[in-house]
Amino acid sequence: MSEEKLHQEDERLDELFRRSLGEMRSEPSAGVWKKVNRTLFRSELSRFHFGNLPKATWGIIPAAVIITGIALYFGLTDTTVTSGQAHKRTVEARHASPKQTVTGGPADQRTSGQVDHGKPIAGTTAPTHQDSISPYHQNTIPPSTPPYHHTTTPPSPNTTVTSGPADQRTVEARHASPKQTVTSGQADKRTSGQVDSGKLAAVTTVLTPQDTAPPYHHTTIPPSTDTTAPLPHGITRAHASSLDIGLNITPDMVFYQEGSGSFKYNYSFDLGARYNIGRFYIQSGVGLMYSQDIGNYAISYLSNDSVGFYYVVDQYTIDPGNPGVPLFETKQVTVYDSVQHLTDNSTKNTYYYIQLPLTAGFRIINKPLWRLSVEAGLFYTWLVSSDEPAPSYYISEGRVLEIERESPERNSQSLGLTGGISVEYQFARNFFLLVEPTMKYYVQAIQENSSRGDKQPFSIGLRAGIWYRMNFKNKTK
Amino acid sequence: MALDPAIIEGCIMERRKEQQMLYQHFASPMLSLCMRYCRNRMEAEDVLQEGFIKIFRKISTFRQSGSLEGWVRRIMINQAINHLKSQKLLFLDADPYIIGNQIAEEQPEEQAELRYQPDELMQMIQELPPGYKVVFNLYVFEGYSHKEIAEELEISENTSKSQLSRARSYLRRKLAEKKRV
Repeated sequence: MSEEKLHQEDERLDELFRRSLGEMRSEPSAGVWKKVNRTLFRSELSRFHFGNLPKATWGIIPAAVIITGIALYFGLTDTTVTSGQAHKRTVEARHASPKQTVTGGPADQRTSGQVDHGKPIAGTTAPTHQDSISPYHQNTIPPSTPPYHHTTTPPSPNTTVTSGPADQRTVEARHASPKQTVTSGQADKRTSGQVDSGKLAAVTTVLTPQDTAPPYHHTTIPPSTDTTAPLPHGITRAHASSLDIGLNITPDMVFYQEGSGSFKYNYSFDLGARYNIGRFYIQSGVGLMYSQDIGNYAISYLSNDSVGFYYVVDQYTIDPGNPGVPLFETKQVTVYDSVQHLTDNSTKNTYYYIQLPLTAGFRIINKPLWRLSVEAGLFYTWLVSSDEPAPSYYISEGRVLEIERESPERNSQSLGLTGGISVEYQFARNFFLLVEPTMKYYVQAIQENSSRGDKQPFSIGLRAGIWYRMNFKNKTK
Repeated sequence: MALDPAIIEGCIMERRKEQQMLYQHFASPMLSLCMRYCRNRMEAEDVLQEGFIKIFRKISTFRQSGSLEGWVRRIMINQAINHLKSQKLLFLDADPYIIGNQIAEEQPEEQAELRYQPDELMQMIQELPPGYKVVFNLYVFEGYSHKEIAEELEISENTSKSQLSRARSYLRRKLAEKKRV
């Protein structure tokens, strides 16, 4: 067959395929877009990087955390039960002169309204001796609920008594327009209103000892019953000072800004210790972190491209039977004429780190059965062991020129920031479960030879463990 | 059918709706392209998926003065070639069992070409050894010269020519077998 005809046949063959398949369309399955969508989402998520945040954020975030913490601390003080700061009641009794303020003490303070003592209130009890011996009208609240001496007052049509589950009491008595309102409840916050005793003819309220708020200028204020309210069996209240020790496991998803756009998993086991001071705690411990990477290698090699081979004389000898005639010993040399590249990502590198965290936390919610805390701090990692297998590849015919490692080297030490929100559930007298979503950001590089995003990834994890509490003092049950 | 420039803008802004519209526009022809480089549909869909992810990540680098389809096509081809390389399939070496001259007499007649269904022809291409397949696709469908193929695959022009010749011989033999059946 002539060369021209062969060329025509080639063209015809090419045209056959071009015509038949050139405009061919094949509808992909629906799962392809879903996978694309999912990968794009992950990629967008992984591009989030703390380093990209405006510098002002680094000041705003801690300030917001502190302010929120303070606000929550004071906002929740009266609704949560902790030792050392149970109830606060302030009694203000406004006399015509002087102003009298009665405070029940650090463990039990009540607030009452203002009472104008310029004019006596009929039916109310005169100040007790405790009033007179307290220079600033501050009295120590006796442990038992005292019966109020004035539990019976003359009835008055202008007196309203309201009882309910809440814990407020308001008493207003104005002598110009006699009126008294008492709202009582079970809990432990009481506020009384203003009383213009000079114009109050008669106020009648029947109050039980438990339900009765000490009105206004009464100096004998019963202690809060909440601090001694019974707890579920076997449950111990939070203590002013205690030490918690726990074992935890934390799977982490580590996000890398650059590179594959995906995330990797780390697993940590740690022994943690917390020292609690009231609602605050300091936490440290030691952990072992397992991390895995895919080993990426680029292998360049010269391949045999059917160029052929040649023989090269290796050595020669003179034929002893034919003097002067050399006998050549040759060896075959293959001709390599193109550089090929292989990538190998079949190996897995494993790393073990020792982690040493140091964090401070604050319990926002401190219930007998469960607690919610926020914490933040630093962690230090130290690479103690690594296993990086050699690349695995197969080249049928060829010669390796270079093996280039594409996965970055790991640094031996790193420092990072960590934060979390921990939820504790007290399931036994001294044991509680901890679940804590955590976030880590590596301030110092953990990898070399890579872009910034790869060097400083961030991770999101879930720490879960079982803890034991050792109480030091103020133990109540 | 031209693509609305607003879709490209939306893709640059990483809006999912526009990304999906671009995907729907190009998915079918690009899957056919990928199938010519791969062994089966499933593998082709993997390449298609990776190719589109690359497209959406790099679309901000696309110069809108050029052809978007050409750009998308180019990315898909590169993705397919990289896939073959990563799977260690792209060995552009000789196959001693296929010698073009030996089956020259088995070339199909022109009339017989009409009997081949596109799916059959696609299967023949998919069954080609990877090296033949890539060179054949680049030369026949993409219009690359041997010089361009050599640069793309980092091989010599002679290697490209020999791979194409063997690909054609292989396909002729397959066409002849089909014809006999």
